[in-house]
Amino acid sequence: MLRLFLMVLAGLIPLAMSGCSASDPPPSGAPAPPAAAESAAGTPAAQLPGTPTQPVNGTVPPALAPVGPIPGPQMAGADPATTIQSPYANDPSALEQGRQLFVEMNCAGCHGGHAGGGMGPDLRPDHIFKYGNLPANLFDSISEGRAMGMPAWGTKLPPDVIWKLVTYIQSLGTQQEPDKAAPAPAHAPDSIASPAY
Amino acid sequence: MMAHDGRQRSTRWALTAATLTALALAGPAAYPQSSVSSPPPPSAVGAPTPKQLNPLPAAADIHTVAPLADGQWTLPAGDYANTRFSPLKQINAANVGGLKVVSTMADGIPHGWEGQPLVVGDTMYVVTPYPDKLIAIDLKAPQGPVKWIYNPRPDPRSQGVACCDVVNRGAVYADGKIIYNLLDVETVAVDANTGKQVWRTKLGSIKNGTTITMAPLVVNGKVFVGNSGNELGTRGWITALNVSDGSIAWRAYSTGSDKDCLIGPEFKPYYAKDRGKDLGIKTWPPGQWKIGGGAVWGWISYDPETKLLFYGDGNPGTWDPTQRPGDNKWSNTIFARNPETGQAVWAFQEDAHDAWDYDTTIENILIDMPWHGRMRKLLIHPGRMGFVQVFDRTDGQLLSAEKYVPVNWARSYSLQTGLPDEDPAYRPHLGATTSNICPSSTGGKDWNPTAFDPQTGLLYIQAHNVCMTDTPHKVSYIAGTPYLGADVTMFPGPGGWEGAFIAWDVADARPVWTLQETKLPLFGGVLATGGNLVFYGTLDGWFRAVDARTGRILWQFKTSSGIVGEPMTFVGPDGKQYIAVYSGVGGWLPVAALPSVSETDPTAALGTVGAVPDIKKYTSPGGVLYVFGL
Ligand code: HEC
Repeated sequence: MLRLFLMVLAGLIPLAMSGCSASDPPPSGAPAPPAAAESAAGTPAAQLPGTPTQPVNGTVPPALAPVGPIPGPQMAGADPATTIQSPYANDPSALEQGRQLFVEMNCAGCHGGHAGGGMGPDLRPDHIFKYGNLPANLFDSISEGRAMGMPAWGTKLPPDVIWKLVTYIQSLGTQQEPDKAAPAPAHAPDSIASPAY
Repeated sequence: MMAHDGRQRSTRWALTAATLTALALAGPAAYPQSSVSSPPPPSAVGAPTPKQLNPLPAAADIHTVAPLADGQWTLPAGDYANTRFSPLKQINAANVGGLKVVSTMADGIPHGWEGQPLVVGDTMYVVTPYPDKLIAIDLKAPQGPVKWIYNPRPDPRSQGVACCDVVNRGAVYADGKIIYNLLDVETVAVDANTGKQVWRTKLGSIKNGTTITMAPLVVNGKVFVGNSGNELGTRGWITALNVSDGSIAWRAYSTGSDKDCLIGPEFKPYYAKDRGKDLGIKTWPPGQWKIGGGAVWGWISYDPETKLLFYGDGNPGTWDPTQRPGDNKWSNTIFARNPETGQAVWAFQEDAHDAWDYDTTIENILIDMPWHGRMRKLLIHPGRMGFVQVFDRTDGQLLSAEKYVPVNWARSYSLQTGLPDEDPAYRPHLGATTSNICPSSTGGKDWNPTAFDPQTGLLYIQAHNVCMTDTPHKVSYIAGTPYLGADVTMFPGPGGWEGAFIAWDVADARPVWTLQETKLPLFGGVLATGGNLVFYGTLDGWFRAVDARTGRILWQFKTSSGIVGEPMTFVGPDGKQYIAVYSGVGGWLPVAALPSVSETDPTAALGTVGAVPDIKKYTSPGGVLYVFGL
């Protein structure tokens, strides 16, 4: 299934890439700020209901459809997916890029600054992955999205970018993890004025 | 499982002696029952003792707006004024030591059980976290069996768009209907008797980062609903729907043109800083207001005398302020509006160009009391930014602003200009890391509502002492994903204590006594009653009754999970007073209690994990409704 998907996706890459407008965040490098266009009229309240405002008309990439297959964990076994490895498995620069992408694609906003979770689940090694944490499972989770609110990135990001994200997730909690979280201080300094509670 | 005898069946919903004994053994109800007025030894369970800081305020002639009268609980906060004060006093300081569990209901949903049940007539109504079920409980039958469950099946994808756990802060009753909001941006009205859906209105889309978590309020045939999603580039609004059919009467945006914000000829802000035309557009970089936040996800108050609706809206997006130069109006603003038309009457922006995520969605409590010698109509705002503010609610004049937790982002507020006196050393901006900002984004307290007792003149605040380090970074808007732009790590504030239950003297703007929490912050609501009692819960699951005047803990019970819910009280069909509260940890600051969040990443859950690194030791999620009686 995955192989088929990759083939389909490979066919789509030129399309997906050419679909990037100027305001689309590039797959790597500095993200572009939203180049917003002014709409003098604003959005009349009379349009409601059922017509939510489209922020920054036209220049914002359309909503990523947060759709995905109905959950079903992929177990290690006969599935050829189990043998698929990230093409960047031992590539330190891809790892760095994966980390950067994790922040720039706003994965960090949902999954935590260092993937410890929040709106989306923890992706660190102590987490039990609902959809599996084999490289192919992670690829599918990112590419196709998952039912409970994980956006599908397959139409936005080419496979090599997704593989870099997979590589970063696989590095979490290992020696190779780039840009590790600094520990929080035990508490703020007592020099800060504090009431006598 | 719980048998009952014939005597009890006809009159009340109660337990057998055997069950009571079992409960008494299971919980601290095993305190000596003979001397109910003597408190349990709090030291035995590590409970705090009150610290007296100032004398009680002088007795004053205090009135709440439209006080709660009849032993029901039909509005989210009990009353329109958001006092969360009930005059009921069957349960009081003299007998509360005998309070026992009379019923429980475990739904078990492992997310934050914010909000409170309603009681209308003989029925209790419970709204769960996502999937936002409405459960009707029969108070007439023994032990409160379920009458019906309404299951709205909201879009499961909405779970990934909710910034701070998939919470729901409850329902409102009006005109035979229970009305509440769904995470996937819908409002539903359900027949209070049958559980059948009466209407259902879609108010927005999760595709642009919008959800709803707040509890609506009904005034004169209109229900008021606000959105959530400031962390995902939503555009904030409050919408009025007609209770009769769910059609939309008006919508006021928090950003955009005056027309969109329903700002017109009636609008008379007290301070010059809040005057000008189309500020909701002009105080932003071009177009940025369309994804600028200002969502209305907190509590709404209403004053039937001045006929004004009051609410605050939320932070501007992104958290990186450098990306949105300008005052970013009307984010972080308290609005007074005409509920019929939605037209704004006054507004007060708390912190122009917010850099800390200090949402102004915190409750506004409406009371009439003497203020410096003259009776005034007040609005009390115990803000996330760490100050308790007092306004004249007729015109928006700031009368007082005093810190109630450690605060260093601002030194004070000017009562002349309404502006905070900021300390630039604690204002984050792009390209720098700003350390030790107090309070953190979660505030001196968050959405978890206070209670005001008109008998003591005290506001009871569940505060936390949390500070943060903030490193803004550039962020791109990708619809339906976080539009955040900051790395934040939170940690306990100066002194290292985590929370405090504060009795705050409104008239003198100072604390009277406090109960300090050392290991976890406080993050639930408060109930004050005519019985000289105040009820609150802790994140490690203790539910407490304290003496409203002295702060002495008179009774406590260990519930199954951390409490982020709001206690409420009612009179059952048997004529007896009961107290109800949800236990079920979750939400934003305590979300590291959930298995989906790792305590190994202090930046997880928008930075809150660092503040509660060992919360998993003390509590785990799973919602249970507790009902207590004598
Ligand atoms: C809008 C919030 C959001 C964003 C943005 C987001 N995710 Fe997710 N993600 C989720 C949610 C919610 C789930 C859980 C889905 C479910 O259980 O069905 C999830 C699930 C996952 C999983 C599967 C976890 C498991 O337990 O099997 C992976 C892997 C993942 N996300 C990676 C990413 C990466 C990489 C990015 C950035 C390209 C990203 N996510 C962006 C919300 C988000």
